[in-house]
Amino acid sequence: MRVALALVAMTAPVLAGEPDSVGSPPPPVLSPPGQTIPVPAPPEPSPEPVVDPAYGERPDAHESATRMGPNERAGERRTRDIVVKYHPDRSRENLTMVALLGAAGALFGGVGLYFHFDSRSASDEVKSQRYTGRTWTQEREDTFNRAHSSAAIAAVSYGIGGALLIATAVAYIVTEPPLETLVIRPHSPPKPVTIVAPIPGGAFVSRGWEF
Amino acid sequence: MRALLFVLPLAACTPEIVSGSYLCGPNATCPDDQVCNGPDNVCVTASAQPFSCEPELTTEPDDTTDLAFSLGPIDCVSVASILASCMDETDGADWISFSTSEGCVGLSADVRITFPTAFEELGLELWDLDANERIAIDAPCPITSDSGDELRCLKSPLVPSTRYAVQVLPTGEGTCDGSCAYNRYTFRMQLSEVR
Repeated sequence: MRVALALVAMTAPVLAGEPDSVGSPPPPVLSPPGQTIPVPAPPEPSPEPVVDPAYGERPDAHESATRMGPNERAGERRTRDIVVKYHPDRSRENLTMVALLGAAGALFGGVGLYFHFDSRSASDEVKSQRYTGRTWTQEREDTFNRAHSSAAIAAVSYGIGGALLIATAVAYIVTEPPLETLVIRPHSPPKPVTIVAPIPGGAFVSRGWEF
Repeated sequence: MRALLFVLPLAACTPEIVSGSYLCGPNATCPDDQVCNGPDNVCVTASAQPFSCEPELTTEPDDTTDLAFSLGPIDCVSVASILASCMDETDGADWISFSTSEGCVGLSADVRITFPTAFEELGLELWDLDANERIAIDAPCPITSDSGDELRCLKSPLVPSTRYAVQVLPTGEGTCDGSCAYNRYTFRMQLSEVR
């Protein structure tokens, strides 16, 4: 009976709804006159966390883990918000647009390369640095004109292809999804639960804490 | 600078043809920025000289059969008779006469002219002066040339002891619309007996 009364006396502040604090002196013990009830020694303050040499510092020392959230106030042990910053994935339409721009640039570049080689081939047929002894026939005239026209087409194709490739790079950079921030607020710790169950001859009392 | 590097490879594709690389084509055609040089019908970039008939090449006057340039009597089997001549804008025809010898059997004449492609085209006609009739005209030669010259060939059987004449005349083609109605040519004739 006296033990039960002692346990009830210990839980009286909790039942009243006061926050638990580490290292607080035990409540005064009500004992019958002339008798003393041994009072358990107050719990010793928890030692400083040990620094893990593998991390060099507390594992949760990252900014996002240690930043105080709305549930926290200085000096009080509360839960911490988790802040995550990330770039979302590009949309399908964005990827398709960038891919089409790049493919078009490559296509025009390929066309330009084809006409570049055609122009080079025609030029090699008729160019000369010395007397050849050959007549300037209509066939050679046509080859000469083909070299000029193919060179012009190649230049235009290269220009368009280059512009499209630059546009692809610019579009890829400009359409990058903006940085987004995600705040994860863990669930608040449950309030200490106290159970009081009557038993023959007294009561059974239990209480839970979160460490 | 980068744009220049981009243009340079394409510039290399533009054919570079130095002056004097090619002989003039039909109607005195040449690559861009080049013109046909008259004395040697070579395409040059500047200072092209006009065409002119060298005095030593002319056989004028020879525009009629009576004024024809005579090669004289020719043996039944002869060495080639070669004659370099010229035809300017005012020249309508050149006549070259010859006579065949007696006793020839199966006599045949092989006549050719070569002239630059650049200027007006020339043709051949073989005339029997005794009968005053044309007996043959030129035909495409069995050989071709890319040396800037055209060839015209004429083959015909001949009768011994007969006077003949070959007429070299412009065909009206390749005259650059009238601005290059002249040319120089080389005449070659050889008689042979076909047994």
